[in-house]
Amino acid sequence: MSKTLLKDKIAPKHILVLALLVLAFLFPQIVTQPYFIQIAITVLIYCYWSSAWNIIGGYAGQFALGNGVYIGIGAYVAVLFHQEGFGSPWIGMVLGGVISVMFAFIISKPCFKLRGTYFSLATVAFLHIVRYIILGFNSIFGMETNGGMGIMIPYTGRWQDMQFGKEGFYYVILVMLVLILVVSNVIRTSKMGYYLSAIKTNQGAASTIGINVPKYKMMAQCISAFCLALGGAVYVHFLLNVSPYDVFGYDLSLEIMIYCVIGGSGTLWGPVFGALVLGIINETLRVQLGSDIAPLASAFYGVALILIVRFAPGGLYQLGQMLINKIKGSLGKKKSETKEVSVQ
Amino acid sequence: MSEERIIVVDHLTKRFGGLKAVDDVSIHLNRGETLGLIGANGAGKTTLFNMISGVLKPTSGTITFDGVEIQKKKAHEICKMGIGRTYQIVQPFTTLTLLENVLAGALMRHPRVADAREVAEGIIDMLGISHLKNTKGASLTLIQLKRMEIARALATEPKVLLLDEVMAGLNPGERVELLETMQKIKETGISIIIIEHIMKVIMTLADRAYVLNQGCLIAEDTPQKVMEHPEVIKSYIGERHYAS
Repeated sequence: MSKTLLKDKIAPKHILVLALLVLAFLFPQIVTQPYFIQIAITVLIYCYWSSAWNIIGGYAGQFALGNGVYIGIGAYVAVLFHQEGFGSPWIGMVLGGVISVMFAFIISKPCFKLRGTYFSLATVAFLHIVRYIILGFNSIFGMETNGGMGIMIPYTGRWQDMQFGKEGFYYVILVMLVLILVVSNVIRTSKMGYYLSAIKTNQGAASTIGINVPKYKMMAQCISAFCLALGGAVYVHFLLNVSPYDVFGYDLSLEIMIYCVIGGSGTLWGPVFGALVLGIINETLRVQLGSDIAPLASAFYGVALILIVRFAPGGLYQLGQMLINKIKGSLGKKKSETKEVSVQ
Repeated sequence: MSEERIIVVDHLTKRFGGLKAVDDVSIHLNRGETLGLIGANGAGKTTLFNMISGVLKPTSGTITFDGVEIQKKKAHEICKMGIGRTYQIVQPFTTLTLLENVLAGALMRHPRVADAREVAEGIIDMLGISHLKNTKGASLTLIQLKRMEIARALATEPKVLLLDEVMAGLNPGERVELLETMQKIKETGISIIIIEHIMKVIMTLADRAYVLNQGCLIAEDTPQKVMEHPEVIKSYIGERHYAS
């Protein structure tokens, strides 16, 4: 009796997740070449960002195309906070998150009155405004930002300064990824998750069953912005450099969105899946074929995006699930067939 | 006792540009009563529903619910106060299952998902659709969707239920089934306003009926008497038939 209960609680899915987690934690011990760890860190941070974008873009279904802006705000605030001698970039990181939430609130308040494409465009506009402000000025409020040159972060190697070598960064970002998956899962399975799904499919009907649509969209946007900002702060300390081209780039916002959609937006594992597959392909192509190939990668994304949106709107993740179900179904059929035969 | 008015609509008008969709309409709903709202297409029935449920704001006039003016309130606030509705053209959450659709409605009064699920399961059981609970909204048939919408509205635990042409698009067999369901809901003692073209529904369920024509109120009486009203026959069956 107790055995069957245990069996019910521990599904193969849980074992798979656990195995993945163990594998992820052992990875730097097994594969020690810095080159691979470097790729792994980049892929992990994209997994994290895609999962963060998924909260507003996937669960709430609001295509916030310019949400990379919060990565940049988080990064700049954390770096400037430390550079100007206010304290550790860790505190700066949290402050960056809070400032991002404030911006998200101010920007989204009017934008949520717009629907669909207009909302997306408004978020892009905000990204461009912030980017050109950073590009156009060498200092902001008296703090040196060096315009397009960006800010170099002096290497100290101290964890207080958010620096801990490649392996350290790998683990920090992995823990962040695990945390955001936990947060996503809590959202997904709570009242908020059901409300966001309702808003995503039918805003009108959602409001007539008592859902405060703007409030829940805003909550999703603020949580997403906060998480994106934290990732930005950590990632630039790994790069030891923050520049508007990197963190306020339109490409970054697009990539996060594309990974999420191709992987499967609105699902827990879709963004991770998309970022893993595409991130690895992307990094490998770039290293193997040089930076000339970058435009080709964009073309590849474009084609992949069209195919996914047309034939598998649930993304690769759902496609995989469908395949597994089909295989299971055909296996089940065969089993029952053999049973029938044996009965005969 | 039964004459206590739960909804009072007072001189309500809605203009869309030059068109008066609802023109100076005053109606009321008594507590525990089932009210029929009839009229030809374009008479303003759904517009009236949209204003009561907060989807549209009236141009002028007031709507009072349980003693509180609600014409300026938002749809979700009105739902919270206790008015639930269905749509003439069904509005399911297509990516959610039937149970999840109803559960989403129950979450307003029962924020814990487990509690809301229990409430939702009780309601879909009453409406006889529990066997469909794991079917996605996108795969349900029209009658199943209509039942789901009623269940979803009931899950918000309303004091007043607005049913907008739930019979439209159903075949006679399905209508009989749904009529039984509606009778069951009426027996729970909830106050209901029904918009319906199928007269049998109004005759069976309604205690009182209003007739709208081109935005104006033209009659108010018991369903039987309303049917005999010359203006009703004129606007419903047509002037020629009336003459002959």
